[in-house]
Amino acid sequence: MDQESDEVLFERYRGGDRGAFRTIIERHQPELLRFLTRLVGDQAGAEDVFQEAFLQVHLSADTFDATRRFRPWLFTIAANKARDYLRRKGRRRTLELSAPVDRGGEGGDAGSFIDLMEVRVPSPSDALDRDETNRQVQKALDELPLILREILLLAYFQRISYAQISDELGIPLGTVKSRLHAAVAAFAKKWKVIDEQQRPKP
Amino acid sequence: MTDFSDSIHSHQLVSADADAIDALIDAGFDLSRVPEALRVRAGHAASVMGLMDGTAPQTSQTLIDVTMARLARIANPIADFDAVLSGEDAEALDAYVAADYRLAKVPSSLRARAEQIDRMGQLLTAGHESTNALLVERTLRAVTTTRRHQEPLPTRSTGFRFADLISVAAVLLMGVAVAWPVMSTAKSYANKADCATNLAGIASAMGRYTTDFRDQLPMAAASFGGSWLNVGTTPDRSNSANLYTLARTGYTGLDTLACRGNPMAAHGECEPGSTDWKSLPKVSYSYYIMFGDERPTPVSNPQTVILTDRSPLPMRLVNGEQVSFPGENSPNHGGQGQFGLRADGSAVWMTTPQMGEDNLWLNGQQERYWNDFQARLPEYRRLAPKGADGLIIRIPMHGDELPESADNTFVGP
Repeated sequence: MDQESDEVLFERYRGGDRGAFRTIIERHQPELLRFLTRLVGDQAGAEDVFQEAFLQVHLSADTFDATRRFRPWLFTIAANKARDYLRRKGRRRTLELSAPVDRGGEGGDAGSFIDLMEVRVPSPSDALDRDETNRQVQKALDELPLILREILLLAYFQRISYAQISDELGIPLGTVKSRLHAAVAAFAKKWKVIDEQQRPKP
Repeated sequence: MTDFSDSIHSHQLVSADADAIDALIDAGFDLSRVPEALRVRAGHAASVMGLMDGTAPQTSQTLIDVTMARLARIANPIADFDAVLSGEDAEALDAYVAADYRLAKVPSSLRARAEQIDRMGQLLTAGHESTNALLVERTLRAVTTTRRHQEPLPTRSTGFRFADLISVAAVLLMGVAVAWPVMSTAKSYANKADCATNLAGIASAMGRYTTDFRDQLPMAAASFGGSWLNVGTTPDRSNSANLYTLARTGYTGLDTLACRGNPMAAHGECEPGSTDWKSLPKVSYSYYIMFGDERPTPVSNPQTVILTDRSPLPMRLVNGEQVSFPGENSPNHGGQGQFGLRADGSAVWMTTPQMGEDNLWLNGQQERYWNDFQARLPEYRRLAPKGADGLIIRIPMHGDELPESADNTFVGP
């Protein structure tokens, strides 16, 4: 059962095999939970959304087109549920985003261009405190507006093309491109600030 | 009149106001249903925004203004975040995505930058590897104990003498066929011709059914349980089962109920004992929603549309999306439009689901919400901050809405 594809497992589930659904949940749990934790901002919320997403998968099981791939569908549903959750609960975070960005002390240029080569991005082999790094990443993410955060995470977690993102989010291809560019830039900018803040000054 | 554009940039809703507004929206703009702790704030916030026009706040007005305030909050962050990738970084990102997110496949000139992008990805996708066994169990439990809600409704006869008008159906449909403009592609024309033929067949079948069943439009079971959207579950839980009755009882075939523009449509013979299509994608036509206090009392207006090419909204709902654009056309004909079959047996080709005030895919309350928003769209566009991606509205829709009156067109799934 472990070697079978998601699509095959799902088909079994639709045929009444409950165990197949368990396998699907277990298989996707680590990654989907990480995705949702990044998107929603906290583990507890992510777990709630995780359940809601699979519940929706169950409710919509009959409508799933067997020729599609399961995983993008799962992520689409999860992102939609996360959006709803944040609308219901995450009001405070959105409010903070309404405040104007502090543009001081960063080269000072409004409409700032980001040069990725000037951002220090640790590689996984860097011996950094993992937990600390994770917290910083989350902090940077939390300060992004939801629609940028969402597209950034959907792209990186699923490693899908612009066309596929366009399908999932239901937005035009051109918008996908500009939005993902903006998301990468915004995250890089945030990360740069956070990274510089915690580096010892010479 | 307050200059709203200034207030977008300088005014921030305190979080308690924001919570109150959200509660108001969730309560369907009925102040009495807002939790008491938030009610005073909700009322206050609503009136403040309602005063924009100098008129007394009304429910629909408030609804729109609150949506506008929220849009300002959502749209603004994009305008504020004007971080822009340098040209070379933008190229590197495009190349990285095109390379299936694999560094080795990125052209060497862009690779250093792509590596930064790749590393950012690793930062983002890493995280606590905590396997939560309890979470899996809780999720499974929630899934297996999901039950659907049962709410039987009494049956009523339509009383409409459909049979009286069926004789003109074929003639009218032919008239429609002749009046079509030249199609851009032969396939599109063929699909539409096929659909028109189907509609003639469906109209004829409906006429014979109503003759045999005391003027009742096709209906499956006596009780209604929950969502009309749940195709293929049990017959008293979907509206499509009502339409399926025509095929099940032999008045027409599944092929007549299948649109060529629907690749998943069911064909051939009805499976013995079946009472509905197996799943939503297999349904090609959306049917007059048969439930509610006012229905199915007589359709007094013969112009009321009782069947259309399938609504685009149900698929969005089952994907867990909210409904943002009910002006969307049926997917059956490439989004160009949809056929509608009227109660008098005539057919019409509509390039929009909006017929005046009446939207095919929405019930009365949702229509008012949508129409109000549309009417104020030019004003919103003018006031929207630069860089706002678009103006979105979310229409509450769950698939269990009921029509408000017998003659308001509301079809599904």
